[in-house]
Amino acid sequence: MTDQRLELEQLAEAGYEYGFTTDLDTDIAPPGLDEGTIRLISAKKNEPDWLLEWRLKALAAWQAMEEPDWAKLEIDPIDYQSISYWAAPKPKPQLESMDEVDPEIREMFDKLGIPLHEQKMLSNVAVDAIVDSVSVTTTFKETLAEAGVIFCSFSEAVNDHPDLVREHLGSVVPVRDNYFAALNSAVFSDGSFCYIPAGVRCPMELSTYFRINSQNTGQFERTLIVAEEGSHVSYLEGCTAPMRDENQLHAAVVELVAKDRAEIKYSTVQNWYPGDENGVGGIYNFVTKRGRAHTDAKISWTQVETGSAITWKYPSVILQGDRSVGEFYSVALSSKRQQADTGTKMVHIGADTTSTIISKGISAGRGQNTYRGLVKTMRSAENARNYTQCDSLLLGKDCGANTIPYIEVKNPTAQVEHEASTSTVGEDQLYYCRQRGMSEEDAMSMIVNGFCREVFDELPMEFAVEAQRLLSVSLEGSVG
Amino acid sequence: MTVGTPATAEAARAPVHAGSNVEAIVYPTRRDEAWRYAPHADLGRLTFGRPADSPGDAPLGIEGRAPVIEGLRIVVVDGRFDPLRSDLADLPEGLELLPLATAIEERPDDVAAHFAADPNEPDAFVSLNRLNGRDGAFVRVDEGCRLEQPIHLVDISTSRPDGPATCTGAVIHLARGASCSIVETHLGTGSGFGGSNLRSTITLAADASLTHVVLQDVPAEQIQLTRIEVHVAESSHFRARAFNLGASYGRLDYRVELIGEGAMADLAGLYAGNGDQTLDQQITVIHRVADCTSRQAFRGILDDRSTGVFNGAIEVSPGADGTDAEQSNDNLLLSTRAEVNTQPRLEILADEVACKHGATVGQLDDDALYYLRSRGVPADQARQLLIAGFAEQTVDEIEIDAVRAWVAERLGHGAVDADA
Repeated sequence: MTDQRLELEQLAEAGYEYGFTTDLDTDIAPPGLDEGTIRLISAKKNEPDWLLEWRLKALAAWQAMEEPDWAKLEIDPIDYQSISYWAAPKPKPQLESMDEVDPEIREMFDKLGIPLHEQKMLSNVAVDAIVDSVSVTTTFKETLAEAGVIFCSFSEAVNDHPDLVREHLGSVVPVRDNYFAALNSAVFSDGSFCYIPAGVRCPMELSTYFRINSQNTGQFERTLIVAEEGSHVSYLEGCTAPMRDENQLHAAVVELVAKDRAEIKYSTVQNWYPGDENGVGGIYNFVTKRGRAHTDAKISWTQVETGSAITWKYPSVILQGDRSVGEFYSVALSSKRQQADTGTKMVHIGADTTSTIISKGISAGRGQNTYRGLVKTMRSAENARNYTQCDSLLLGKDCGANTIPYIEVKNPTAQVEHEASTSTVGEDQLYYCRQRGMSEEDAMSMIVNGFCREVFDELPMEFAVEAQRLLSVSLEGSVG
Repeated sequence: MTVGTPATAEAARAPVHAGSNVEAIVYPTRRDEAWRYAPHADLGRLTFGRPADSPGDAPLGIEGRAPVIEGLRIVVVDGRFDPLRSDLADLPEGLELLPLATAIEERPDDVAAHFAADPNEPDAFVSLNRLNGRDGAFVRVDEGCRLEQPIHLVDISTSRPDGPATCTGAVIHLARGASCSIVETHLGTGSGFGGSNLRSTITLAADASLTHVVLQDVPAEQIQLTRIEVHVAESSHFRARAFNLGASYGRLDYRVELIGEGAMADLAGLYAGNGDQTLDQQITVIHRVADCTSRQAFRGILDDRSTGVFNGAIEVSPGADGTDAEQSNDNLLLSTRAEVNTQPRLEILADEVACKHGATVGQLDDDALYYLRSRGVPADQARQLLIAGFAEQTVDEIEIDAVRAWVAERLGHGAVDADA
């Protein structure tokens, strides 16, 4: 108990422990966004003409669009011309091995707790680390190559596997999908690309680590995962950013393609800097994530969202093929002055498709937490099934919880169920724990972790531990 | 004064000049959550203006299509009180019941709130009702008066090709400790396009109790918009029973505010559509203060190409601790072309609350059908029995016999009950 107590105290004092900055020699573009910016990004990356065209098309689409305002979010106006759309650590000579990665970058990742070096030996996780906009290093390439799995930065993929990228880029999230997706399509700088050949079970869990390091930069990464017929992959994503007083924009796009009988499991632990108690600073996390599941395929999203000043994110599954399966497991925590408007969309097109949504929202401090979800069964979705459960926990007088589900059913054989509850931690629950010698904070932490159990159980082991720890840290000070 | 068809979406959003009352009226579009599934082109065809000076010419016996409720009755045809069809004889002590037009003349202070412009009201049709409504019913029940007989308010809209949509109003006030039942029946005649835009404002003082029933059964060519605004004071009890059955677009919009501790709102309803109907329920219950209770229980049965909409919200204001709120929406789809859009919302800004909601969409249970058929019940009748069973929960909650019989008859379940 004492040890645990000590740990909690340390955590409490730590505050946002990833708030350090690293002085990397950075190649940064002047702020502003116009055609010239796009051409600069494209030229910096030696991109083929078709990709430049694609970006320019996206820019034109974005310029014609209006910023969405339907979310229950209070967003300070974003000046898109004051953001720098390109920031990269200055290139170093070609590296022979992991050991040659810039020691400063390695040190930064050590602080983050993902020592690339050690992970190579100790754990079975391949990491693609992205600092600001550029993929710095990808570990475990060889082992993956043996299995035929391609896991590399997006830029590399454009160079080495242009046909694959061209075929799938924008196939799930079209350029004009929404304001932030269009912006991303125009300016995305890097990201991860992953390709699992038919019938292959990816031999290890793949992982990307995002970090915004430079000041005044946005991060616009793009992830594309293509799982061929009968393949299987589990993908992890983690995010942090340094503490800064101004808001930073993160507008990412993730596209998943699960071909027949393929399975993609995508897990996120998002811990961008949330800003301080007064709502100063923090990341605007406006992300479009969507997967298309073909016949008998399965796509599963798991997310733990504890960071960001504002989260606007709806990981979705288009259940295109018959018998395809979509899952969404989410824990979203808003404390301090954080705002989260998050949920999922399950679009049932194929027959006998099933989807499950489990969402746990926790509001503390002055946090505002909204679950917004759509379950849509099209006329063709014979015997579609959906089960949705949204629970909200309110900790404190000044926070809020909203549940806004949309259910649209056009097929009578569909069965759709939605349940939701909103409550607080009961005095009796706390009393019971206190009576058995637990401190109030330990008790609260345990109860909240229990509330989230269904979601944490879906996370891979290392992430589950991290998620629990994150939750305890984020709740410090807002309990009692 | 007349509002015509907006040519474009831009025009639809542009303010419409609204006569001497300078007030911007902006038509809703598909992007307004509360009007997401409404037929906007048809709504744009409705015209608005002051009603004629005398009631419309509805066929004799039309009231016969309303439930037969003994006692007091106010009938309004095309937005004007119709003395011949109404019955205001022998008012019991403690009750004031008069045409709204009379109340506007004689009791301006008591109806002022009903007509007062609300800058926070974004709804164009509510504003149009306020600007154009000149008649309807005025009900006031005195302190401690408990009425046994229900009061019947009947609104009839004859669809005249060039007439404006009717804008009838009801102003209902129950003083401290008063109690009564009010049935609002909405009917229409003719077979052309037309519409009515009705609005009731209800205030319940402390310890009052009102049972308020809405029976909407206008012809399938007409649009019917009903807005009911309720303020419930401490320890008062508002009980709503709504049957949204007719109209091409039948909209039932409740906005209930619980403003005194211990107030209670209990809303239940049934919508049953066929043909091309769209039946839209917009329910907002706002818990403004602590220790209030609310329940919303709405059920939908959708056949043919009909669409059901349920957009229900529980809003809990900061400080409204001890809130106990529940909401459920269950839907039965009977046809491959029928559609349901349900949106049960919770918006909670207090922490000591217990709020729950649930929604389901499904079809008739195959096992149950098989069970009935294996016992010799013909397929059609087995279907009817199961549908009646689904509706029964709502129908059974009506305490007025005549209304319960009318609903059962209207749903075509009377015969089944007799046989079973």
